[in-house]
Amino acid sequence: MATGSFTKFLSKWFLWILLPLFNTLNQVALKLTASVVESDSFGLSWFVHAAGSPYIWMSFCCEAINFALWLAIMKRHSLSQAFPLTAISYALIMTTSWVFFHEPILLKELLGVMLIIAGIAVIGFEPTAESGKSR
Amino acid sequence: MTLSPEILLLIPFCIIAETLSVLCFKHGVNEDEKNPVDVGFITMVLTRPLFWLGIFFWGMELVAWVVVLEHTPLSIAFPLMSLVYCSVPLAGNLFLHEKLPPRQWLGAVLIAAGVALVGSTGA
Repeated sequence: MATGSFTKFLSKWFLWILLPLFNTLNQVALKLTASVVESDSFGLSWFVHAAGSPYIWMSFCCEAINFALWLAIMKRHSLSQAFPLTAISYALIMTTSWVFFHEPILLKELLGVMLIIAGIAVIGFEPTAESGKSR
Repeated sequence: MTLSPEILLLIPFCIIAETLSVLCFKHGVNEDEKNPVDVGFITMVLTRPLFWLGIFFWGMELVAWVVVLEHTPLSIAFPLMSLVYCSVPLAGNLFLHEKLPPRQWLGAVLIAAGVALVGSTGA
């Protein structure tokens, strides 16, 4: 398969580093886009301002990269296992929000994210025979 | 910062749109795996209507999501979206007949509890 080598290359464990990284970068780009259109009400000027912002295009690039990474992952795993694993992004995004946007992290939020991470740990990162195949 | 009713409705809209989008992509990938002729990655994405439908749902979500972020801190809005970590496995089980062992349900419950905790700080 022509896509086989591409898939094989990307399906290794480091996908789980690349995916959250680009996911976080995407959220930062969208937050910056939102700050550009903050003063506009939702309408034509909203779209014009958003499309004129470099951040929205940065977000599109991140989405395209994420899309390729995600399709490669889905070739190998069931949705029910692979999708929850992407939640590893939360820890990174919360940290980024705090560092770059100076959003406070409350104890509750921190505990919530820890629970989410615990849930991911229970589901497991290792592909298993029972859920590795979709049928 | 408070969440307005409009924003509270936009968040479930994002969750449903993302679930449908991911379902389309996964089903498209499954169909591609059955295809004995390898069409290549780009061709696969461009020629399958399911991928276009998935991209359509993704686009709907993107617009709604930027509106949400205009009014909500990223550290609140993004964890709320983690409800998709319950809806996607459920949809995979219901529509794509994927196995969903108890271990994965437990994981989903933990994630939902985390979401509730984070969401409780938003109002």
